Amino acid sequence: MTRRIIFYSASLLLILAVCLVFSLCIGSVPIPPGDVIKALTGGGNARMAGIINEIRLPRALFAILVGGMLSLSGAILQALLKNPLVDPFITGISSGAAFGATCAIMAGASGLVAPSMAGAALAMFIVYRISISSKTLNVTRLLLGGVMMGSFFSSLIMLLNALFSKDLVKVVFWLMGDLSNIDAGLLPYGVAASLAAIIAAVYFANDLNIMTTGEDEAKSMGVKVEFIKALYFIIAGVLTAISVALSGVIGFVGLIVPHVVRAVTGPDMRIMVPCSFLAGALFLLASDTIARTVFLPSEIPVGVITGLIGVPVFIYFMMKGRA
Amino acid sequence: MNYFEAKNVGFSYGRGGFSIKNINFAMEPGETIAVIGPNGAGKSTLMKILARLTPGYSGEIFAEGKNIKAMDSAALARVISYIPQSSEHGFDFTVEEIVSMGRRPYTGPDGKLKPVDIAAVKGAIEEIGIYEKRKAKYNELSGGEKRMVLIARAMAQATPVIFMDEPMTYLDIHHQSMLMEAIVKMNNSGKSVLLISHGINLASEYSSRVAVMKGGEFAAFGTAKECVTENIIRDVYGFENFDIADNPRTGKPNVFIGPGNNPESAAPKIAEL
Repeated sequence: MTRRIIFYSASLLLILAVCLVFSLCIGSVPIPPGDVIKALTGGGNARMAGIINEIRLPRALFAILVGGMLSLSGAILQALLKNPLVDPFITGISSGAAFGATCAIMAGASGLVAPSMAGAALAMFIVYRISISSKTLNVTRLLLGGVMMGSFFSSLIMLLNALFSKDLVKVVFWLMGDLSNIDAGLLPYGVAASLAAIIAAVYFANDLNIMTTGEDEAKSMGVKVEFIKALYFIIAGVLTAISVALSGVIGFVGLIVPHVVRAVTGPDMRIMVPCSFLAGALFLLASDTIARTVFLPSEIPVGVITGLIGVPVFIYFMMKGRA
Repeated sequence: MNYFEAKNVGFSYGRGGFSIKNINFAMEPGETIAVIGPNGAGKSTLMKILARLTPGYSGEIFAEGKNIKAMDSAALARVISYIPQSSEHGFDFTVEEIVSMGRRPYTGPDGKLKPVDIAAVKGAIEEIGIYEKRKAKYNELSGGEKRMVLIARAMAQATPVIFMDEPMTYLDIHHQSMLMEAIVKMNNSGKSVLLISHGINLASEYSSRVAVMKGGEFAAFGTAKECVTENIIRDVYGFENFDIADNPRTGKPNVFIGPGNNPESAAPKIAEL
């Protein structure tokens, strides 16, 4: 088991590192890989180093972080809800975040991270609360409650848009997911949250595996079912909330990447947790690189690219009977 | 010391709802108790209560002399294993992975298998005769094979008490006989088995004692000879046209049912179609 985790994780890390260097090379100013390596290690031409270290690298790291968080959140929720069609946004948390961000945009606020986190926290609390039935977290209610709260917040967003349409474009772009307006100062917090989530998610991953076979069976094998449900809902919720707050609603990553990873590694969450994070990171880094370079000098929201790439990939896996 | 004991156990689904009442019994090491009774008698509910899967019961339940209410989840899972009526999985775990899950009470949350755990998993897989299927995906197995995998998982869990809810469901005659032999082996090694069965004759043949449930209570509890009687079968199942005779090979009572035992549900009248 440990050998399989290391093999898959190391392979993905290697591919991610190569993609990162490739991503840093391309842009409106092409930079050769040698210069990229020099810039990353503190040497080379100052102008090149400035482009790499201050513009491209933070953005690439954000793509890695957000992609990893969304994909891990999706993998966890699919296992928790025993439903491979679940994605992080089905919990209603992203709609809550979007509502918070929309309010802030309408109010003319500059920072969107805090309001969207507040919206996400509110949605998470409501969905969690309405999912509790007879002192247990009912996963069917979680799914239904998430869909309902998602619709409710979406209606509120549409209401705000109808009333104050002047900022409509800004809101729509935010909702499509965007990595072009990032605050590099937030990166360490995102990394810390991701690391904490990965460690907790890996430690209890076998219990989550057992839970996918049924709650009664998991209980009978000594799993503290209520603790595991609450823990993984919170982990998935926090990861979704942070990623949406940082970059808007980037679709398909949390649905498709866990599917593809599962088809390759099998469903064991002990492997799925690190590999979903790394594969999600890779997918969003590649998508964002395309989003910012294909239509130079303008760029398109990364959510458009994740959908355009992700859906055919997903259909391919589905046709091969592996998803 | 008894492995398992229920003292005056009761449970109710809300005010005026279905209830389980006055359940008292103890299981001796190495015996199999079969719970029989018609649908809706409360058999599965009772089993879930006894395995602490359904909270909110009254009375006391003891496993290895300890009140199960006060036991840690893993400690309880080292005494009682539970095989549900059916188990459908959303994800493609292999047979080996499913059976390995049975070692959870010994490994802790990370599920890392030590040599003793690997040996227990391998032993259970071989014992139950599914070695060739160990790398197969659980979801791609037949109903009977799935059932055998769940039994292997319970064997890997290595508990002195095993609960089985309708273990014969989906099993062909070959698998039924394999299962019954496995239960006999479990009993011979000192394990106690509590099983729910719709098959009165199977319960009579293979159990040490039979509990007959009706309306949430034990209508009868004792040996097959004491419980599989004309009066009890007539009272519990409402049958009229049946015979009871001893199996000449085992001496255990078997029920033989004739037609016309369910006049209300028999051939619908044309006007109702």
